[in-house]
Amino acid sequence: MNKLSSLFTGSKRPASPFHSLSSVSEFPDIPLPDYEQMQAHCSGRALLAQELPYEQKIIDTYVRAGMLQKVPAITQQDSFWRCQRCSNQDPGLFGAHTCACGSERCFYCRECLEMGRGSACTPLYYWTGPEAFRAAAEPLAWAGRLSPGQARASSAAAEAGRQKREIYIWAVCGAGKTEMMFQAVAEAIARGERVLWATPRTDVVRELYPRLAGVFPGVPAAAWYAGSPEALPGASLVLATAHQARRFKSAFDVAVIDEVDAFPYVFDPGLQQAVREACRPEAAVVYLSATPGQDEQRRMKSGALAYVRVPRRFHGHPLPVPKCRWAGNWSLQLSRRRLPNALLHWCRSRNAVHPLFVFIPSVAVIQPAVEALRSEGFRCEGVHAGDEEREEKITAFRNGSLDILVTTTILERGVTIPKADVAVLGADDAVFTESALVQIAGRAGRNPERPEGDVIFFHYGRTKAMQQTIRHIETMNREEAPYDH
Amino acid sequence: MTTDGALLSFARGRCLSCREQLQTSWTYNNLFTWKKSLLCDNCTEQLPAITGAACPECWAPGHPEVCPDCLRWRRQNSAGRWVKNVSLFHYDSWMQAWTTRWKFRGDAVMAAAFYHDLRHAYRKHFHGFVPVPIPLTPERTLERRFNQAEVLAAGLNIPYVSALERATEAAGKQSKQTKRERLQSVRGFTVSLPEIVSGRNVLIIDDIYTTGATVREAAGVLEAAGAASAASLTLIRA
Repeated sequence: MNKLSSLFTGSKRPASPFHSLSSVSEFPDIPLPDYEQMQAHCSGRALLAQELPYEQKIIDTYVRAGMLQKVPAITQQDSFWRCQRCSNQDPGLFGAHTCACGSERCFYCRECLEMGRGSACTPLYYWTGPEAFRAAAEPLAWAGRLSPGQARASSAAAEAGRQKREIYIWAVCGAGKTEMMFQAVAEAIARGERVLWATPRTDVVRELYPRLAGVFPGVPAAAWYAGSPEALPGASLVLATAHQARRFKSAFDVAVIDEVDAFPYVFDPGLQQAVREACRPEAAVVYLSATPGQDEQRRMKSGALAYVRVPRRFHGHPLPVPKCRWAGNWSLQLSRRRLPNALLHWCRSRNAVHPLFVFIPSVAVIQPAVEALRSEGFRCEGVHAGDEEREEKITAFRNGSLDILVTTTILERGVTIPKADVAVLGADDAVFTESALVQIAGRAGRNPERPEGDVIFFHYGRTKAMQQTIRHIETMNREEAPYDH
Repeated sequence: MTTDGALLSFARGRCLSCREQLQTSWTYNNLFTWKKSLLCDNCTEQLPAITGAACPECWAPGHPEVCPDCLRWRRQNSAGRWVKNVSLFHYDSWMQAWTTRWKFRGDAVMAAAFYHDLRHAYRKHFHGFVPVPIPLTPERTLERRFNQAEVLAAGLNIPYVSALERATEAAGKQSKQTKRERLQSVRGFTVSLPEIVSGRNVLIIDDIYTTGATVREAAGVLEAAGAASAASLTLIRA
């Protein structure tokens, strides 16, 4: 269940320790070298000395001038340690050692170690000087047209951005959620504000970044994901995974949080805190999801959370309704390195022009599935979360040099392959929850030229999640869309 | 002399390597020995422990007899009182990733996962030896904030002696050098506490034994300062 929005809402929002820092009124008159680069580099971020490409002497000058504030990276509150950068408070995620600073037990944070080690004896620097004003006159260069449902969500999001409120956009997979945000993002940038676009997965950042960079040509944009090259620090439009959002503090006026119900937000309260601290306390927040959690749905119905619902895809065609096919004991078959006959027959009989996703429940069965499909003559690859060639394989699949992509739930969201069909092998497995299956079914029929698309659940007994998925999709399809006509 | 058992007072309840929440499976081994598990089952499975035949002098895996490298060391320094090197693990890609995080990113507590095995190796092979960790140069200490060899030595739970000192080196990181460069370079160890090592068996502690040049040089310096014999215990045998 997702608690992120409840952290943002309400008057009891805990005050971020950082927002008060930017209200310094006077600065003593000290000559400051490289002022503009420093301002762009530091504003809205918490940085270790090693992340500042300047000598210690210059950094100290800025600290004396009151432009940078210096705080220890790890602080102690009562008997708990807290990492000022990633808000980690889990005692299991701190380490200690005899340190060169002379301390017998110098503590450091293990959670955000990959971003450079922050320890009790190393300072973090925050920019407290004036913010750079970076308004762009006409940031949006997009000639596309919104569907009526999209237009409704788009103007609601833009309004929330102006009023600094929060709004939830509940739009089916393939409704064109990205386009709905263009207006809100463009208006924010025109006002000179900074925008955070947080997504749960690295793949989504990689896919979205070139698209947004194309739509907002003159806007300095940056993409942050694990293993990303050092991105432009002072960018107005920042795309980041939730982990990478920890690099920013009190930086953003508008946050778009994509796929709120997805994995890291749901299970890790530290990440929710990180996204919250990356935004200013009064920031507008737009949540995007196709499958809100029970908690959100309840709050929407009770009126506690403003929302817009877009039950139609942007091309106006209904969502493909999944069909169920009995596949027998698929796990036994896979352990014998075979595929269920039902799946093989279907693969042979379908029109092989269209690409096919085969979702499987665990990494362990990728290899047998891929081998069995290859022996049938299909060009096939498997991807999973730990796969280093994931990007290349997805690109190959998109280009049409692969017929079938076998994947774990890692590709359940955010990835658009235009005319794809979808098969779920072992749809009765516990990893395929209702929201996962709705997202997976949403991979099919995303292109107006082929809006139908097949979605087949190969199973060994129907589960409640499968039935709820079908009901969910049918409800969305039936739903009157009053603004659409 | 220092002891440091404090390393593990934090970082509990999670795998020291991958930081997953620990859910130890109940095997008979765990049940009866009551050994606290510090790594998750998945990481334990991937540990590249050295088993089977190893060179009796440098612990190189796959050498039942003394390996050619060690024979060369013997020829070079016939008067040396070298005992042997003992290592716990191979250097494979898992261990490489582990070392990167531990040493270069600076996650010092990760070493605590191997304290039990290090103590075991110490008792089995080097009982009564005085542990002496390999020092870092002053600059590297400031940059890294801790000495990885000292972190390992602290795990032996007996007082170790920081008897060696190291001058500034010109050649840069050893991990970036070739074998020939390593064998030819001089690290410049000096013994700061000769009165403690003289007449004793010393055990040099380091994180990795690659060519052996570092520990052999340290052994030579310690023997010249009066040590009865020198051996080494390293975490990894590359």
